[in-house]
Amino acid sequence: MAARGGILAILVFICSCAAAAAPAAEPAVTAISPLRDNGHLACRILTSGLPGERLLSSMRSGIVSAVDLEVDVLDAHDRRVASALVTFQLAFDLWDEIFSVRVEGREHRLDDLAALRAWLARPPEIRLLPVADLRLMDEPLVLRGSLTLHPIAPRDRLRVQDVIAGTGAEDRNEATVSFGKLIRFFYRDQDKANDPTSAVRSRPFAVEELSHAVAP
Amino acid sequence: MQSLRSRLLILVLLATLLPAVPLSYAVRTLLDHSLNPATRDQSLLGLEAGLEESRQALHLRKETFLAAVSQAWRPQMTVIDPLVESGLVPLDADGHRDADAVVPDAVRTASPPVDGEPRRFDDWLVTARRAADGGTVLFAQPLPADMVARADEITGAISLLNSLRLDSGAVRRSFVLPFLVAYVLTFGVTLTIALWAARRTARPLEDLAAGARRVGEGDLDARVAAPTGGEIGDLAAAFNAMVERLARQRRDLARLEKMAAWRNMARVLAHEIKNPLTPILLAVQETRRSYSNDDAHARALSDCETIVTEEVEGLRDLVRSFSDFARMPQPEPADEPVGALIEDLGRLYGDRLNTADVPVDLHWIFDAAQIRRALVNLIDNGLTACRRADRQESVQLEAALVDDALTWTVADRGDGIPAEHLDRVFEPDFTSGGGGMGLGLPIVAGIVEGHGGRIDISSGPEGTRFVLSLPRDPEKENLR
Repeated sequence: MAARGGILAILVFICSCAAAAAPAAEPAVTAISPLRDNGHLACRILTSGLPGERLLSSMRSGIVSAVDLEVDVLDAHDRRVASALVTFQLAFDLWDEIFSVRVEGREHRLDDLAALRAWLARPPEIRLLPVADLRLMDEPLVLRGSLTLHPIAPRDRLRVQDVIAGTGAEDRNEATVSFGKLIRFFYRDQDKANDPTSAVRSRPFAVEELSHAVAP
Repeated sequence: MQSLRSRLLILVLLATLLPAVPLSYAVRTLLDHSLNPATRDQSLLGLEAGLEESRQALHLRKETFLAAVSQAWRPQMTVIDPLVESGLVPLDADGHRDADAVVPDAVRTASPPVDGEPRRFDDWLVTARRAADGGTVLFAQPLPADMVARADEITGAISLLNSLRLDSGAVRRSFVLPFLVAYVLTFGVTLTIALWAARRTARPLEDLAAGARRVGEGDLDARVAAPTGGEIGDLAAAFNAMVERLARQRRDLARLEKMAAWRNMARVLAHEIKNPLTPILLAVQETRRSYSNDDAHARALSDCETIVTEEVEGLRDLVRSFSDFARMPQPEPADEPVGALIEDLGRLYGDRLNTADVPVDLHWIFDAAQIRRALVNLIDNGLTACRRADRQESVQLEAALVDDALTWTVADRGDGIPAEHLDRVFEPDFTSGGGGMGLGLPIVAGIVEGHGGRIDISSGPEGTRFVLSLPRDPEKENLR
């Protein structure tokens, strides 16, 4: 009996170590569901792993991070019918020591990391287009949602750009201004290359069933 | 020669590339130092300390705010309380109600936890209380502007420093890439210039090498297009001059060899023909003398003797020409009066020779007998050409000093010499068909060369013109 208990303890220990050693799950969009919202085609996106280590590290350094959620409405031939892009700006207020999420001009202040994770796991619905615009579509549609992470939000990147190669200083001549433009160009160009992206597709759905759609 | 071009190209490229290595290292080091200054950590520490102080100030401010809210809060308050405007109670900095406060929308729509810690919305502290009617009453108080500004400065600086650190790789690349683009452009321009310069430098040398190869294979017509100026231009000009000299010497050598062969043959012929002439002539004369009768046979013998004598004299003239050509003696120059020779020739040819006056005291160094023979040959040829052209027999003879040389000009009004024959008129085997053995002009050429001089000839339908140029010092010219 004691031996069985010992083996069980060892197994638990091994599992704990494995769990600790396993890399944290990368942020990803896990599900996307169409729904109807006041005569509009909308969707609810579920994510996991947000904000993730990289974004969290940035935020704790006082850097504003960003998460782009892009939703495409595709027809049966994978042609894009409509799309929407929502950006969540994530920040940690170093002064007040709370998290905040700013989306479409509205700020949500969240007391701790758990609240932030919960908020990000189930972000607000995203409105896509009026259902009336889809009445003529008799083919099933598919939603494709993609997630793009920016450890440094584009707004903060602009600030860095301005610091390393700004054009505001009066003592800069034309040559340095031109060189600064090149530097800004290459700095901006590296923005997308560094950020990972994940994507998910919804089940095919018909416009008619949207009236019965409910959020998962 | 291709390797010379390659070497030049490699040299230029190395001269361009090699400085780039230490320069790149220096740029990278400077960039690293700029992006990661040694003072950054100290700066961060200082900023963190300032931030901590700001946090404490904010904490105190929150406590003061909560105290003020406790003072203002009445449990019986409702959202329709006249003292509560739209569920919001603004407080001033001292904690008193401020009905005139301009509250931002972000504060009006804020949703802090009810009865919880105050939160900061748009630089206002906001807290919520549950109203008696179940609604929520918000209390809000603005934070001092200087306090907010100081905190913003500190957090902004921390954020910027950390952004630069977090994104240092991208920042470094964004600096390096423009330099790389500029360097690649510069390198491209340098490469183009290097290619152009290498080709421009190597091409004349390649042409020279090709010319030298052609000369080595015996083609003395090879010439190099010399670039104007510079050492390579001088080299090309010297090469062309050298080849020109070689070609002239080769022509002279060939002609001298030919002349020598002809002279040898002429000497043999003269010897072989001359010896039997006298016995032939004596035998014929003896035959005629031994027959004393005066009849038809005697007359026939006499006619034969006349014919044979004339032919033998003709052969003797021929032998004399051969001998003269074969035994061209070395000239014996002396100081001679030019006018005397002209007068002598004038007496010899009479009206057929037109002469121009020359200064009485004009003397020159030459072998008078040989020059006289050369002039006689040219005058005879000229008169023959006039006859052939059915023109008046008239030859012009002039002597003048030109460029430190005595020039004799003999011009006739004959039918001229075809252009394709001009190069061959001084060869022994060439004859214009005007009679003679064609040895007159070769003899002239031999005499002039013996004096170190030069013959120029020009000819056309209106006649032919020979110009003999004699240097003052024939021996010195011959040495050259």
